[in-house]
Amino acid sequence: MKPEDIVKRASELRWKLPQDFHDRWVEKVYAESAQIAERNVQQKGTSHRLTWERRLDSLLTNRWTGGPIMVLMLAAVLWITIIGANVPSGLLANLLLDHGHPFLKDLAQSAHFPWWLSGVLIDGLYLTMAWVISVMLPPMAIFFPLFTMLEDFGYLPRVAFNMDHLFQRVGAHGKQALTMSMGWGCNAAGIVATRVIDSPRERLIAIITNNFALCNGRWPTQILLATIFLGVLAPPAVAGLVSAVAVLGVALLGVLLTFVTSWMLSTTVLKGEASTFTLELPPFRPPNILRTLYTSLIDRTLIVLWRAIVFAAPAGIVLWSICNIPLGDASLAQWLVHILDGPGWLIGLNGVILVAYIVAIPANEIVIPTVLMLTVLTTGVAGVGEQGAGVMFETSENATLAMLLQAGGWTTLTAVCLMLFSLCHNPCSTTIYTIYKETKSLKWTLVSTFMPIVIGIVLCGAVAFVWRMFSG
Amino acid sequence: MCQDTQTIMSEQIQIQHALKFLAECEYERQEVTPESIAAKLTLSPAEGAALLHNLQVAELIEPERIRLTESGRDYALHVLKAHRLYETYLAKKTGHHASQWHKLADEREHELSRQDVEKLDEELGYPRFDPHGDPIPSSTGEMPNKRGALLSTYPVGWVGRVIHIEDEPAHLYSRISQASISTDSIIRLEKKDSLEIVLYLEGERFSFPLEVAEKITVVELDAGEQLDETVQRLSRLPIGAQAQIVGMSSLCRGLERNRLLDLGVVPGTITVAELMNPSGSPVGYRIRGACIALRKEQADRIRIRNVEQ
Repeated sequence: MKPEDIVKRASELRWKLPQDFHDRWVEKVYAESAQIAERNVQQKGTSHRLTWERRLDSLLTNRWTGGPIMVLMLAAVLWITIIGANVPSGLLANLLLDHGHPFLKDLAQSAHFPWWLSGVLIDGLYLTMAWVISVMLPPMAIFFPLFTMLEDFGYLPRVAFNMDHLFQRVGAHGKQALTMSMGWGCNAAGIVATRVIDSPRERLIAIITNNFALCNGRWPTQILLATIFLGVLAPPAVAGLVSAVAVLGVALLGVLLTFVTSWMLSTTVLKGEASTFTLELPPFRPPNILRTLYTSLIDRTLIVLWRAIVFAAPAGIVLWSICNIPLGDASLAQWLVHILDGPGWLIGLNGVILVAYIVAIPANEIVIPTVLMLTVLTTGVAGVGEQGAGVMFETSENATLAMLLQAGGWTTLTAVCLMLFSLCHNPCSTTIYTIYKETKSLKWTLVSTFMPIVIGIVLCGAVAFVWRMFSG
Repeated sequence: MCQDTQTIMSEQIQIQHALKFLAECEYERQEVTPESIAAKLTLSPAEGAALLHNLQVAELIEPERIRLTESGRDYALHVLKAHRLYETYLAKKTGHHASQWHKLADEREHELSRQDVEKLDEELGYPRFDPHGDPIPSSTGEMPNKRGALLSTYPVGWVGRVIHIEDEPAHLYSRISQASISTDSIIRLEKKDSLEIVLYLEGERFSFPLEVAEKITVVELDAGEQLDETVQRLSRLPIGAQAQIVGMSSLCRGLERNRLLDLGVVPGTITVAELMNPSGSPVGYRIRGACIALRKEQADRIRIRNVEQ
């Protein structure tokens, strides 16, 4: 046979093989290896589930008990976080803000720093960083270890299992329930957590929509606004209930938006991304508490905190500078507030809030202190925030706060729109950076950044429009 | 008629579609008439005639009759290869739904140069058939002889293997793919009357409108091969029951197939259905010592055989 004949014969025979010959072949290789392994590998013990494991599994994934247990667990984790964080947050604030700040000011004075240098470094950079640390660190240091323990125990995969059919309908993965709840602690950590989703399309969906999970930096804003603006509308007896329901409503709206945008993404821009589903349900095992504490502190809390500090420091400088650099007869901040008042009004907000959101891109935690500071700056209300321009403050007196904000022209509409805007705006810079690190794609980073803000503007604009139409 | 289609479709794209159609007809050994071309490309008779004239001037078809010339066939096979390779690419590497493949490939085939096609061919590992079972021309333009006959030509009770599923019209194709019938399924024709056909495969029965029988091409089984009545789908396994995995259907491809193989979904593995979501999907299966949850569509594509407890 001549070589050409052989080639010709081969290409004829090539068509005679079954259609999916390659896949079959690979399957055979796997089957063969499995047999070899079975013959030669001895396993100790059995892989059978114990009776209690089976009972627990059916309790956790049952139609009637699965849901309530899930809600209770989540509520418990959030409650422990909020209550537990109060004390260390207070201590840190006392140490870093109430004592550290005046101490450093005195130090700067005795070292004969010029006023602007001590302003930029201590009132700007130091104060913002201290603020972020004292507000952010304690809840994260409680939330993440609790979460990791539930994960270690094997509960979280069961949650994903329970929720999968809901997420499947919008083209997402059941594990997105986990990354979403992780987002309630911190969006950046939630986005890192999407690594557990191994299907490219579902992972992108989880990353892009994570911002709709109200993070730890935004819960205080929601609670504060609901208390001083919405709670007071109801009789005092139910005021607490009304504000709690309002905050819960915003959080649930976030969940709804997660589903809606997941569906939109999976049927439009992401429909071509490859997709697969697998979910491992590991056996239950007692969580290793020490290791959990260590890894969740190092992997989640400290990394995220470090990024937040890195981003917050320059923001502090910018904040102090715009309040203290004069342009004509007013500071830069006053000009900005003035310019943004118009667009702010259209979406039910005001210039102060928009400036605060621009300055507070690095961390949602500093939005409210910045809003207060800018309000004092622009209204000239005396009696609160005496430290001077560009110095953030917060007051625990709700009445004083309400008075101050009302002097700034705030109404119930402003509060409602701000609550919505706090849910739907661009992610903080730490989160944006994390999205870029995880997706390695500028396109998806931009989508994740601008999609929520567009939704926020539309939502607030619509609410403001309808509200004004009915209230005349 | 169809002014829109005509304005959107540039002349070159029209020529490529016509050539592809001619190559398909040549392969299927079907007569081509000016009417059938016009109908396929949704053109008026006058426009169809103008198109044929253009093809003759460009020496892509013979001057006397509607038959591809040497250079016309070469060009046509390139377009055909681009289309089928792109469909294979969509099936293996992307998440686009099966009903979208044909449309997307119809758009993209015109943008692929010969070099692009060669590169795609290499990247996909020189596949021989597209996901519908159509052969992809080799780099020398070879295609195998057409095999098989339409399912509609066989009597009730006949058993054979599916080798090709026509992807147009899309609604019938979706019905067929929803039933997880693929180009390697062994089926039995259970019932056939003037309205519907009933097919049996892998322990399930599916009823389709009669036209579906015209969309499925089948061949006789090889010697010694037969329809295995004990084979079922994993999705049918009740909670607590045990089964042996026989293999995965060819509908399970690309990333998904690799993931499942890695997890131990390989022929011979014993699996037990352990945990069911109240809505019925996903279900947790014990596979090689781990509990893996799979959705219903995935479990539909895994074939099992019941074994003694």
